[in-house]
Amino acid sequence: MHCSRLAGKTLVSIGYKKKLLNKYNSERCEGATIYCSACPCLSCAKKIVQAGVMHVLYSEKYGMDELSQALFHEAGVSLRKVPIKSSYFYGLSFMGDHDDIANGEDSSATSRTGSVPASELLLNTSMIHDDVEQQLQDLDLSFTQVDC
Amino acid sequence: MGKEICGHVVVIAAMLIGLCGPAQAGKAAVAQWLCEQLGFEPMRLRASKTTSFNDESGNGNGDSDGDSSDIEVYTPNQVLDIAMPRWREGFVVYPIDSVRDVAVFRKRPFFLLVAIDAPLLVRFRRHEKKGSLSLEEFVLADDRVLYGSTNLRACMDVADVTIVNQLPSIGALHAQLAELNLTDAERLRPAWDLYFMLLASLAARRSNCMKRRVGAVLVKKNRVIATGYNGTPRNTRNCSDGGCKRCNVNTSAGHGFDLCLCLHAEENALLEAGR
Repeated sequence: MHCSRLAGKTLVSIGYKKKLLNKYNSERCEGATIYCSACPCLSCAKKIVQAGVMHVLYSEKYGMDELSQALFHEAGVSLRKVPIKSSYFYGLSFMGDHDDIANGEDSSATSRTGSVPASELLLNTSMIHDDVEQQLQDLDLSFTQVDC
Repeated sequence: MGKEICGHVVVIAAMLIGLCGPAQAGKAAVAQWLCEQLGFEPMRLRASKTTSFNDESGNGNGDSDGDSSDIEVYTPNQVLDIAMPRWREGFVVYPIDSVRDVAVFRKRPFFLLVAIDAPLLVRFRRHEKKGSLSLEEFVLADDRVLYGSTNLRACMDVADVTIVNQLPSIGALHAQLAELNLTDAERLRPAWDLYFMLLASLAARRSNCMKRRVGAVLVKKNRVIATGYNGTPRNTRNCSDGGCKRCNVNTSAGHGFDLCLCLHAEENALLEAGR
């Protein structure tokens, strides 16, 4: 769960918030659609409404969906779930559908669509432990790109 | 683009389906079904050295493929040469066992890779009905195919659809195939909504918030205006590097929100649009 999703407050200072809200008032968002990997929190929902976005689509549910839904409904903004999980391209997605897994739903045991290959495949066919260690070192599993 | 099969015209999809999978998983049975039910044309891919034992007859209770020496075999490029001018028709090419071959086919927008798999012992039992290998010999040959130079295992990893065929009868497999709707064109190309949702999931992968990966894509008239993911503001330390105290001390839900520095994906997308 995102750190501040339940807060209704996300930003540090009120001044900053006002500045941001001015930014949201962009013609570019008027009538636009936003695709969200999770159902927007209430704090984001009001900004989406204010920005003039008219359609909200999300893939996974989140903890305060009813609150957001009520706001969107009142503002005339459509809200619809487009679950990647039940699509043919689940294997291409980078998310897990937390809610569906939590509900005990799982893909069929006899078929699945869009497999998720591991980024790199380490086949441990060696009989010698040192070889495995060398393979792991070469892989550099803890590599993270240094940027912001 | 209809084709007359068993007296009635079947509308077939413009699709080249490739089948990969280990011995006795059911590749031939799936190919046969595609041809009989959906009017696909079968094309045998030239066998690589490692799969010489991979001579199966579908579900293990079907007939043999016939005398394999009579069957014409093709290279991937030959398959494409034949399929391209007849792109409105359906073709099924098998067995695919090399990632190099997969790469040749995958460039084309009408190609779908289907893996057919089954538990090892189930496949061995099917083999036993007509084959002569011992379990150890079967496993050895299987390992060579899956993990050898052609690396069937890697082919199966990148399949668009995986069918686990441990079904007791060929009829059950057929029912499963009918239900799968393999020739649905949306398997080849996601519709707009799914396309943008997948972009949002990629944006989420850039998240640096310790609590949850979230992504958002702002779209107008099917054009991307902006993308966003959640994390700390620019020029500050990433949440995942300890930049947001609130997220890094595992604060319980409902507490400490005032101290959270992370921007949400949706906010970031809206901000980006306004820049």
